[in-house]
Amino acid sequence: MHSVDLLDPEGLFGFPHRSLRVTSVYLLHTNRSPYRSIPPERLFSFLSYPHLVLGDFNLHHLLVDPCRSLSERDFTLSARYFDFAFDIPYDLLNTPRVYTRFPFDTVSRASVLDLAFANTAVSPLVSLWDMPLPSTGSDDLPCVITLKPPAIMLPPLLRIGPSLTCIW
Amino acid sequence: MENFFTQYMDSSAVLLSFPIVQYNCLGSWDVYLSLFHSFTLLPHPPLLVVIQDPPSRQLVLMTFPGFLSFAPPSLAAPGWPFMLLVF
Repeated sequence: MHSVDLLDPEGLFGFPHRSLRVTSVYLLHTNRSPYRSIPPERLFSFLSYPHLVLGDFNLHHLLVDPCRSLSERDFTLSARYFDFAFDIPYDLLNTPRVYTRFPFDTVSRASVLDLAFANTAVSPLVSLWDMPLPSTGSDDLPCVITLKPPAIMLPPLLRIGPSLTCIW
Repeated sequence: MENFFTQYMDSSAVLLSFPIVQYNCLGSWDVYLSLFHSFTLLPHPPLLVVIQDPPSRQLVLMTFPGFLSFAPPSLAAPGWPFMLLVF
């Protein structure tokens, strides 16, 4: 797990938040040296500023892969991370049923191991989660997350359009 | 570099878009280089690249032209995640 704080003294996209924390995660559910599992309590926390948690979680969950048959171990393990994230709350950015890993062998099925979570401070800024890049030669596909300022919402009576109506 | 960033900003220099790429490189240099070269296919190249399991060469911090690397203090364990930020 590795985090970077990006600071913008002018405020991110005009929002009051001046920092964005991005955490890169590579979960290997083993405690065999030199690896160790990272509990969800270390990944997701109550933060008042924007926080993105992105990475290869090596988890299967029905929310992103609803057609998958989960083992009891898969179910318990993924529920631990997803439930903790949703309780804080963090939003899942992945589009359900959009696979991120396509194994080369003909036995394994496609899966969603690469996940992206955003806390509620950054969720309004996430405009797109997509996979527009081609294969790099591995069985994973890159994910692209685009942050943009939310569309400026004008009061309905002042909105300019073909059926403009102004009531004074 | 100023010209590079203007595509992400409005006339008031307010950031309009912040693309991030997330990827597991599976410890492969070929995958790593292929990923960065594929950014030419995007309308706007990413400002931040979030990598898991980067390739390593004698624990040297890997980078790519135009990007600045941020990594944990220790790269002793293979597979550690790290990030590259455009500069």
